[in-house]
Amino acid sequence: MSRWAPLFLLLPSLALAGPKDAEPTPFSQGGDPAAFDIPGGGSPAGAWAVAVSGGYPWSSLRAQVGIRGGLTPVLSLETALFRRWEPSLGVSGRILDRPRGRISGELLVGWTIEAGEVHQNGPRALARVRVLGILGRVAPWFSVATGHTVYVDETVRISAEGEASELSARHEWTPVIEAGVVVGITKNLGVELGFDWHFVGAPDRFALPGLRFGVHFGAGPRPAWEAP
Amino acid sequence: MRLLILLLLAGCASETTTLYEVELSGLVSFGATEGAVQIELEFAEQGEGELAHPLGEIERFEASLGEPFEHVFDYPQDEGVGLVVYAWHDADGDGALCAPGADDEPSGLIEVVDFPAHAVEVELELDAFCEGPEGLFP
Repeated sequence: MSRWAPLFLLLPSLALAGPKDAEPTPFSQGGDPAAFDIPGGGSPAGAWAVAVSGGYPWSSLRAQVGIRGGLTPVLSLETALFRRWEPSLGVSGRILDRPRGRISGELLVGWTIEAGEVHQNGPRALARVRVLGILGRVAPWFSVATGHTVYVDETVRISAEGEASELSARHEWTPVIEAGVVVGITKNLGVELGFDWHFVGAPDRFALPGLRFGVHFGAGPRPAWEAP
Repeated sequence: MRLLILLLLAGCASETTTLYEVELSGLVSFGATEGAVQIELEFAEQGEGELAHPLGEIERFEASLGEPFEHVFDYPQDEGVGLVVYAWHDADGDGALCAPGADDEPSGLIEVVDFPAHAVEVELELDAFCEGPEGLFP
């Protein structure tokens, strides 16, 4: 199957994400499953959701709690082979919310910590846009993100006159493409299969895509979908 | 502003590179021959454990045979140990050490014993032909 397959699944779904008075899908009559909240850009006020995913090379843990006002605070921890760690905090929010599709955005700030052969760490910020289609209890999604880390390097120069230190900053750009399919098993539990492609150090370095499997769960008040 | 941000992040420096400034002076000779001589500065040893190996280029520059030279360079202290000076005379000016039909280009090498030091002086007589640094060291 082509790696673009999730897109083809998604586009017709969004095309169906029509007018505001469109009927909710049967599964969402009592509210969408919590498993849709993480790829769907936020939880309803008072609801929470957690996603744990493992894969190669990226694994992640993500938790969020919905608050009033439409924004959802997010806690995220991603790691590549337990050598590169990316803990971050941020907010997620729905830009477009329809019964059969959502477009959402999020901003995360945190830190990049890289161990192993390359030791480096620095502050990081990431902006992401996600598109989610809702086909009953199945929700394919696709996202693009741009991540930026600033590393500070120190150069110590030892001369006959003494020692002098100099700091310099280095920027690392990491565009990320992700896609997956979330399946809501119950209102509170779902599973996900996805691929991710983190172009760490683009455009100077090349990266290979990865696969991951995740479990999403959550709880809290889940009102039936209402037209905004 | 930029400086302030850098200072705030100074405690979290990702990479620290230590450069040891060296003033290298000396003379490379090959009898009474004159002309350009290519000088390469190398670590005596680079790498750790099973990956350790002799030599490892630091930098290269050009000087004149039979004439004193002075050259200042930064020695990356964390990348290797020791200092080796290798030189060869590009007799035919083709930019390469020897070639089929050109086997008379002299070369030579010396390891700086009293290193590290900010001032290093070497005298090197080219006494081999067509030998690269790996053929002369260790």
